Amino acid sequence: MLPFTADVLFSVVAQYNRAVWPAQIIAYGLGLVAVLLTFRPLLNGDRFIGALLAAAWAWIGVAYYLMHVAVIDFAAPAYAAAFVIQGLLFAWTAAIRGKITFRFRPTAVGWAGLAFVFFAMAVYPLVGWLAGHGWPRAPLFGVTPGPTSIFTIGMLLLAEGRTPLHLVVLPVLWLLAGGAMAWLLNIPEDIVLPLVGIGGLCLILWKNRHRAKTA
Amino acid sequence: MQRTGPELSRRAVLASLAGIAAASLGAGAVAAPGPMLKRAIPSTGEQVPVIGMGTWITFNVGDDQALREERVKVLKTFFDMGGSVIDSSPMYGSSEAVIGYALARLPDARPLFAATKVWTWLQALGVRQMENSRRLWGIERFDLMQVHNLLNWEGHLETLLDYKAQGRIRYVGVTTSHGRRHDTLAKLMAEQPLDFVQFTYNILDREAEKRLLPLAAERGIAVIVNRPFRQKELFHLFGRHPLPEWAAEFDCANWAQFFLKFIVAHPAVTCVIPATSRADHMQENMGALYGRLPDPQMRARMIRYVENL
Repeated sequence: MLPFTADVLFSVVAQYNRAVWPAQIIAYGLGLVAVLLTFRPLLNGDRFIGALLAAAWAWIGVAYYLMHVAVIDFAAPAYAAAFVIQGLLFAWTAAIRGKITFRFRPTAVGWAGLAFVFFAMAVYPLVGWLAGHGWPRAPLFGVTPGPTSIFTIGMLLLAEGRTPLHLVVLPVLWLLAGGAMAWLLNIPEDIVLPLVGIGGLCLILWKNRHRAKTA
Repeated sequence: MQRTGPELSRRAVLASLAGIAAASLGAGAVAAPGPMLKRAIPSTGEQVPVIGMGTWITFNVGDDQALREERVKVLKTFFDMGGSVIDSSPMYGSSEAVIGYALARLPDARPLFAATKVWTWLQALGVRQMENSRRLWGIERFDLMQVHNLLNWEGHLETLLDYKAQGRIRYVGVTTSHGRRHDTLAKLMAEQPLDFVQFTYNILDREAEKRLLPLAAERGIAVIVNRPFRQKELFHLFGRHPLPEWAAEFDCANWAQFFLKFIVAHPAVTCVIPATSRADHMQENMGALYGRLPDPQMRARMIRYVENL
């Protein structure tokens, strides 16, 4: 049972988008840089990607959930805490310890990762726009949870070797919760979120298992 | 048919006229002419209108100015048609802030019977929360303060009874919803000095008839009924079917009034609190505040009718 309607939720998203503008442009720019770095690695590029993901998750926890959604949803502080924790996990594992190498390889998993990233940055806002949630009501990559979770799963699919599972748990859980919310509030662009979450999790588990066999 | 005793006041007469005017304007919002239906709060004898207003989801519109203005219209319709009991909770997001916003824009909209809840695990936090609610509503004091969903009822009841003794609130209550925790609620009703209880009761969810409603009548506790439409589910289930012609025998012009009059016709019910975000729906709801009520035989017929649809 949610204490708000879809109309009110998108109203909050619109207020948030206006309040943080032009953070959306910066997020898209940095996101594209992160994707390019998986093709053309640079020194500390992987740490940069890790820091970017950490910052996005922490930002959404504080700016989106705590400062905006909390006005209409008593559960927002719990979501905020989860997003900040995910940000800290990315900061520690990928940015500080440098334990992840993000590389695009022309394998099935590599292409799937790229597809997730493309879906998060392009398809998701397009479907939202078609569903009547264009700017400023559009949840966008880097500053709102849905597309950022999908992008994160995509980048974790591009991680070389074994993907740390502790980084996968919260994005997948959020995608499942987001799907349930979409079902309750009839938000068409979010109906696929659980499929994305479960599909992404299965691909990561398959990738990790395949890696263990070939190592 | 059962009728309540005449409770005529200038406001009631004006509200009746408003009902007649509504009837002449829109078929769906018909309100029968006649005195406003009121019930006494057993612990004091104070009369309140049997139709109040809930705010779960409907008044949680955040800072959206357009949506806030729409809620001002909803509240104005409520007051214009004779309503006074408004129920909310700090759990309902921005609802209390939006109520305060609307009340500030309707300075002449009185009488107001302000009811909210305390909803936190810690007794000390409850004190701060209730003060915050009072500030959000912009009122001097609440008429009724309830322990929401029985959360830490031991601690909060202690505070509330103390507040009542000091005159900081007028009535003390506890709430549940969705038919949950009826055993604990019944225990509290039997053992604690409660003025009000709130629980779910509607034409399909009638569990409360077995124990809670008789117990409330026996103990002299006022009853606020929530979820009278099961959120919107009753309209989805039955709204496409025609209203039976015999509904006119208890001055019922639409399904909302059918569902509401079923509830308030129970003699142990003091008030029902439907929630809506639309002024036209509020007009329909408030129509149930006037006219005749179904008697026990008619209520049984109402149940048979909807269960056979």
